[in-house]
Amino acid sequence: MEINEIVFESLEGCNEAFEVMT
Amino acid sequence: MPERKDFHTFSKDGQAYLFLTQPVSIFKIDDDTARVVRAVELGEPLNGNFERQRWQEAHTFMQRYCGGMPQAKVLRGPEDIDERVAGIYLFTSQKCNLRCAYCYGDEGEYGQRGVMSEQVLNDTFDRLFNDGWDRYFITFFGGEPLMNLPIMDKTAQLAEEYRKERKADISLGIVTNGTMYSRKIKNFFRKHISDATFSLDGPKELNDSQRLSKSGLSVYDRAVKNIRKLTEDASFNWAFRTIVTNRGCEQVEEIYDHLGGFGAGGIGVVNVDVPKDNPLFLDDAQYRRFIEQIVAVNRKGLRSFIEGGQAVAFEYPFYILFYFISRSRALYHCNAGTNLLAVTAEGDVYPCHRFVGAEEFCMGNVSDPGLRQSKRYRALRQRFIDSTVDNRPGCRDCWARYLCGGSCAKYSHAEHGDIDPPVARHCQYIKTIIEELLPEIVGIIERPEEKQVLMRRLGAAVSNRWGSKGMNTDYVS
Repeated sequence: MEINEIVFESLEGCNEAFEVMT
Repeated sequence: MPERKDFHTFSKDGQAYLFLTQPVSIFKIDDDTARVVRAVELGEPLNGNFERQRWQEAHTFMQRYCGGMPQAKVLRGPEDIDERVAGIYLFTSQKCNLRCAYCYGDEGEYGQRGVMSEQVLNDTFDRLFNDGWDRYFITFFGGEPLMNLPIMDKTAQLAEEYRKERKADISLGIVTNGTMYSRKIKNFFRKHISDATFSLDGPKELNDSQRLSKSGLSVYDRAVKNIRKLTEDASFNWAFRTIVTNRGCEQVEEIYDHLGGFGAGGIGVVNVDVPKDNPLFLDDAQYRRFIEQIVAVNRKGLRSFIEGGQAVAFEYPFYILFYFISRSRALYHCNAGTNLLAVTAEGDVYPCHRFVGAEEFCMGNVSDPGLRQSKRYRALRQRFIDSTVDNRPGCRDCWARYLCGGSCAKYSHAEHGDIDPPVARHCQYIKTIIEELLPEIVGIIERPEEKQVLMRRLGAAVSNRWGSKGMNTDYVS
């Protein structure tokens, strides 16, 4: 069985801004 | 233990993927595993030892993975919904100078032609902006809101007074057809508007076939001339709102390209909301074509974003990236009925602009000092609070629920007579967007150079936008 996760890096310190922007 | 609603397999360009609903994760998987997991997802029986053993392995993996990860952050849950009415659509005018072929507001009158009075405006402020110093939004709406400029002036004056007295920090926006212009209007935009949305449906021939003026003159010519004048050196954010009917359903890319030339901050394109027997309705084949083109335009936008060009449409890759990068989940489609309301020219209050005129959703009138404590207001508000994707039949068992938040309550009500069950076309739209664009994003994440560019440009875009908005911590108590 092959299962490979695609890892998304965090936008350090920007999550709140990202949320507001979207 | 992961339930069937908590995972989803799909394939794109010969590669199989496994999506885990909670905590918002995506995996590349081999075809055999995908086939077995897909069978379980669809409730089909497994055949033979190989399939049963493979499912056991996959199930154990999902159980361990989900058990070892923190839950995705809820963006806004029932316990986060405070009493504050953060945004209202203010129907300054229920009159319009256009008669668009698809208007859901009956030529903007909603069955009650008129304009808002100063008394209704004062009552609106008294009833809805008394929850303490915080940020609020008013969107001038109609009809054509500019047909009642005096009440817009009065609104701006009241907003200024509230700001000075630190009662409320109110931002003003507008949705307009762009066909009205004067020096006075231009000055109003300059001084008071922070966000403007102009309705325009694309190139002249297409626009003027469905957005019709009562005078017979070209709506496109007037709107474009005025929009250019209103937005030159604009200090406000502005965007287009564009409706695609069966007349334009093969021209979506052309519509984006045409409107992209005006320098708008965004282009909001949606399919027309009319009954099936309306001559503008998109049939199933046309609707599929519409979605295909939305995907194509966003795919192109994603490539432009990576390659340093100007992306005309990038909203869906951005939206998907947000959920995966921040590991967030949405429980609601929007804030309607709770932190967002609509106030008509007569002062009637509705969950949002789309419910105006639907009497069973009238929450009361701003002339009533006890409006927000009334039994009717409380019951309708609670009805919307309860309508999370975890509660909505049809949503609660869907793998895409947390990337979606459910379909618009008004659309659901129009289709099912109930705000909860999802609209089939909305589900088709969201699932197609995810299954088509997520693999594109995965491809970029897997190419180190492109990933670096993506994260750098994303960080810059977020920082620039945040900086331009101003990070205001003034409201923190």
